[in-house]
Amino acid sequence: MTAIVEAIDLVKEFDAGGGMLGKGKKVYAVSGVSFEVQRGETFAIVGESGCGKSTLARTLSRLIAPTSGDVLVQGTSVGALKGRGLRDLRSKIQFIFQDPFSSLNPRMSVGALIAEPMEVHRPDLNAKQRRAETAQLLRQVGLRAAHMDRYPHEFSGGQRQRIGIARALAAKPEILIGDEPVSALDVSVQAQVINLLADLKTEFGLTLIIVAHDLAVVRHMSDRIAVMYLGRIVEIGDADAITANPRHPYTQALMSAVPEARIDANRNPILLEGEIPSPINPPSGCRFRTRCAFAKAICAEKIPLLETTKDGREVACHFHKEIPVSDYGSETQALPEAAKRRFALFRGAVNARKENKTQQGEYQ
Amino acid sequence: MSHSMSNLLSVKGLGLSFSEKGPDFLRDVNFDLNKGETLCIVGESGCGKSLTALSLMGLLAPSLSRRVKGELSFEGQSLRFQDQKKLQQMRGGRLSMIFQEPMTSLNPSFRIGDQISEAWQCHHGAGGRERALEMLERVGIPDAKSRMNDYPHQLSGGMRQRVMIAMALVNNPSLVIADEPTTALDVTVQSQILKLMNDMQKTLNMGIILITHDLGVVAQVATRVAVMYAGEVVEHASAEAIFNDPQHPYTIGLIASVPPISGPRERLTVIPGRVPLPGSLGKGCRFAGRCPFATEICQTDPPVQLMEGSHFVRCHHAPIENMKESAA
Repeated sequence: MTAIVEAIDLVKEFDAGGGMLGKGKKVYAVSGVSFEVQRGETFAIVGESGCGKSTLARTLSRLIAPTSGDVLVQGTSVGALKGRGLRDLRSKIQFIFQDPFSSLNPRMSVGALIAEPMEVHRPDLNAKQRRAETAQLLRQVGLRAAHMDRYPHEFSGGQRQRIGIARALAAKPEILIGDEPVSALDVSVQAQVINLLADLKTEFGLTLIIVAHDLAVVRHMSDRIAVMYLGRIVEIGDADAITANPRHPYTQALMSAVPEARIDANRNPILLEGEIPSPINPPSGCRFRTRCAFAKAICAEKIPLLETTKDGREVACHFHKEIPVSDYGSETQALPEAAKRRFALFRGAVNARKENKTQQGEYQ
Repeated sequence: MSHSMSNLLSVKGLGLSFSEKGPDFLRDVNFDLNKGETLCIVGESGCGKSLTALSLMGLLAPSLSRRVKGELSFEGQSLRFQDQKKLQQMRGGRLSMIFQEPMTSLNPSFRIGDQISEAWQCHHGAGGRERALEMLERVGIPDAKSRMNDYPHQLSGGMRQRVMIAMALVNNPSLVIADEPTTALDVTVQSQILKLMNDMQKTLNMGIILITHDLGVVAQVATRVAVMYAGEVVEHASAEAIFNDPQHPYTIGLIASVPPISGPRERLTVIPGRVPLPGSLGKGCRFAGRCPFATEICQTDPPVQLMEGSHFVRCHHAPIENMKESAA
């Protein structure tokens, strides 16, 4: 496999506001992050508010420039790109935003919104071809070609997210970065969009990079996960391995806190002490040490580097060999019969009707 | 519905329309709650869960509150929803509320100690600073004495939500309505806040109505669950029955569409379509347009069926496995 995106020791620091007090201070948003994303995989970056995951995603696509470090897209450094080169990069990497209400220009029709990236990135298309392709894209994201002449306010949140996805695909990207692409949506609509992204990924041969905070959604969508805390990756590896058997104390706390939609689930949340420290003044050494039950003197002195474990994942913790591995995988009990039977009946009935009603707009 | 000795709240036939001839935004909402229990009202955006809470608290605009239909009994006292005066006396006292966004529901220009004391003063006259301090300590604000003088913006989201809880509980309410209290918080903070609410519930033996869209939270905290769809309660049962023996097609679809955090990964089940707009509500079952089991009879209002163990389902076809194979 070849890496399609490679982050090399990425650092992004922001100036902490103006004013006398903020002067000279920096927000350490991303502090030395490296990873590779393979072609065709879905790679997820998870973490809680303020961990730097959105900054990282924006740095990958050069929506913001890194302070230091580099991003290679198909082997080409994006740091030095300007003008035409940058435009070519943007046609390869497209972004889906979180909020379908603020990311679409309300004064542009859906057709114009989707055709715009084609005008920029695919100048060889004429107006007629653009219109034909827009219609095609709308159908591929589960809308109707007739929606082209309508405006964003006429659509629901889920439909707008579909429009945002069609717009991202219009540039014929190879990589799609989604910053919380489904977190603003209701559960039933969220499931529709998750399935849609999976289908489009296969259809267009995409590589997906997803930034999200919902671990159940992330596990479902991705092949590999990187867990971030205060600007650094603390654990990275196979999605199932990390969610079932987290090794880093922070990942363990995070996984234990996920409320499972099952009555027999017994996760016993590990309650973290205190709050996430400010990225303006992060702790020395391991950034998680101030809230870690296993912290010792060395954690304040030395930054733990990512180390590869036996199962192939990487963990940034001085004591990862000694800390007991959590187990959230093997406890899964079978669903009660009544629930299982009805879920199957529901799924079967939806599929049966879908075949009869494929013409019906959102019936996905 | 059975009325045991510990019945705290019972809501009957709650309905609300925005205009004389307009559609019902809430229709025939019924549920009840015992002391020390947690009722979760769950549903997606626009299902009427927040409207239900606001009606209960008497917090709707006067033009709307006049349109609220139905009755409630609270601590053995029965009253009508239009009785704003009585609701106001109870509000903040026996009946209290925690809102979703502590940044917008705390007053940014007053110190938190003063805001909590004020809630006490409304029901007890002067004083309340000692009580405010005590409450801040009980909700786990470190260094509470000096924090009394902080303004809301000086606190993190989790701390602000703790302050909101302190304020809601300052008068020892017997019922707290919490509208999405942890939705704006990270998961690790969410588990801290849910634990706190659970501890406080045990000490005060209070009832909690928790409004949420997060089925994970419901499974962890609920005693009973009311599932709402398009302004109606479509299923009302114990938490165990809702998750292990869901009856209404909407409940079934909703639970099945949540990606599981463990076990094998399969393609997600989806509920086709989307929540209908209030203006487009017709006759009959409000879920029929999205329901894969809908038949002709669903064009008429579905009956509320009582299943085993006070499990209520508003559906013509429950239990669905008994449905005859009909032409889909």
